[in-house]
Amino acid sequence: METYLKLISKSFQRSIAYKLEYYVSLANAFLYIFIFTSVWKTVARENSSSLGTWTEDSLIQYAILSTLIKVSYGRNESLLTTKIKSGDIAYDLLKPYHLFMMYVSDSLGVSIFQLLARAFPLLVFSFFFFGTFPHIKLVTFGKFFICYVFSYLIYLCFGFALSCLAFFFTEVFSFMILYSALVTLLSGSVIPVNIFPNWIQEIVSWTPFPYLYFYPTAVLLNSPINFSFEKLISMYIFQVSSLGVLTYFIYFLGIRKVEFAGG
Amino acid sequence: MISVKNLSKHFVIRKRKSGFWGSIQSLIYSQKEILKAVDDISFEIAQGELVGYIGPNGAGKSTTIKMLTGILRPTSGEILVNGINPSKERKKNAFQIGVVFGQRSQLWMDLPVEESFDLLKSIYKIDEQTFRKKKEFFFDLLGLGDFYKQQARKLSLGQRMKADLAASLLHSPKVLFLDEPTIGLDLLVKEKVRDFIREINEKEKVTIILTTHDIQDIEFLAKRIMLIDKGKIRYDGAIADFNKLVGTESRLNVHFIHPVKNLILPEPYSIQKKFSDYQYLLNMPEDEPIGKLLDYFHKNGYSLQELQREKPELADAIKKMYAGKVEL
Repeated sequence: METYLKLISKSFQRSIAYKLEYYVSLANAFLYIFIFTSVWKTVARENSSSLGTWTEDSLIQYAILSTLIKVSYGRNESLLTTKIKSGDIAYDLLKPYHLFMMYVSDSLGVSIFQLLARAFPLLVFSFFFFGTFPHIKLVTFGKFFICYVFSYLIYLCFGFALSCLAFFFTEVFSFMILYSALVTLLSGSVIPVNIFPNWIQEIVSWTPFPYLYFYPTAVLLNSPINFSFEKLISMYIFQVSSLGVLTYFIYFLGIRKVEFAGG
Repeated sequence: MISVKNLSKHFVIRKRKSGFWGSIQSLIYSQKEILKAVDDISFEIAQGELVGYIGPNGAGKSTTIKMLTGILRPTSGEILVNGINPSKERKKNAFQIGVVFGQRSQLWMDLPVEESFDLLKSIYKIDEQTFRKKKEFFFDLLGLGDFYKQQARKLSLGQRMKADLAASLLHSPKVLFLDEPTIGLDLLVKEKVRDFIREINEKEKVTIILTTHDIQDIEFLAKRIMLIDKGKIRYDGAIADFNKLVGTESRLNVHFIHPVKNLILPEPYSIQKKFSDYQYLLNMPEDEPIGKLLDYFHKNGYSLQELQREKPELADAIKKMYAGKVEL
């Protein structure tokens, strides 16, 4: 356990190593919030009839919160892929720890940094800049927190599975692009999933994507979702388990195929 | 300590066709080929031995090392490192081995060296007292203290190698695998690294397998060499015996008082290089008495000013082997 805690700590320290990168990424995140809120403001004013229960204010709140959740996770797909591609993964495989746990710890370190150093300052800044914030009850926050943890597990599985594809294909950039496109479209990071027609919502709810950002944000905003909170949690358990099994399967086959580049 | 029996590793490689249409065709179909990186090799290494594992590029050296460390699974054969099968008990094996890949690093590049050491301390469950002792040892022998608090990315190649060597030995492994540890280093750092490797082998009795293209590393450190080529071990034995077996010739650097336009030599001597009418470099078998040549020069009126005999070098013997001039 001490090893993994140390790994989290080192990963956090690594994230903090470059000051300029930190400030630029903070500015980027704010720019994204600004773009999304501006787009939703325009859409809500021009086309309010097709937005269902969404109002201009709730859409702005959604855009801010879903972006903050995304920012708080950071990006973890490249933590392993670059190592696998270059062959530097050899050193990780030589250590007496489990590669998945190493990856989880590394991701956690990055995410803790993201949460404290990026998401919180952005939250405070957005509060003053946009001035529209929902009143969140403790129970609602508790429900959100449970969804947030499950959603983070899905995020970890996705990142690790994508990384492990590098064991098979070496170059996984196209998979990353595909993943990024699917997340943008279906996860609710940009568009609330319940804006889509019902039949699309039905299909999407069986994929892991909306469980990443849409459901946690919707729960926090008390927005209507198609099922009860209990059903949502059981769906989360289903998604995490199936994605976990698939991820382990990719890892298990990948580690047997590993061929290290160079000498 | 290390026992390898009938070890093989085969890779499936896809052959791409050349040219524009070839690459288009390869998108749909590419021919598969089996590459025998390591082909049925066997050897034993005793505890405390330092073995030079050499061979040309792509011979199978690194593949063997990766199988011995457990990160590559053999296609067939058996490996035991101190009684442990590395690929089946990877974590257990990790505690007893140290590895340095000269072209890679295990340091966290964005953090100071001390942070990587702190992490390794936890990974290998090293107690504080042992850690401090080890650190002092590395400070003394490698001068680690000079750059211990520097960001790893900002280290010179020599400093990085010293830090990587120390990192690989922090948990006192019984076996150390060194894959080109002196690659790209300047002469002074090379010397320091070699001295350090010799010290830990002699004093701490660490078994070392050294893979390198630098023959001086081998000559300075190893008494035994294993030579691998095209996946097969071509020679396994003492360096001295290898030289005899390959039969590398001695060189004679000859300076004449008067110019000699066309030097004619008796068998088995031959001219390696003519520098000028006054100076020649000659080849002669190592066990050939030099007196015979001196008599010949005297009888034929060649007046000698100076003669130097250079002993056959391991590098020459290996070069001959790589070039396929010698079958062992």
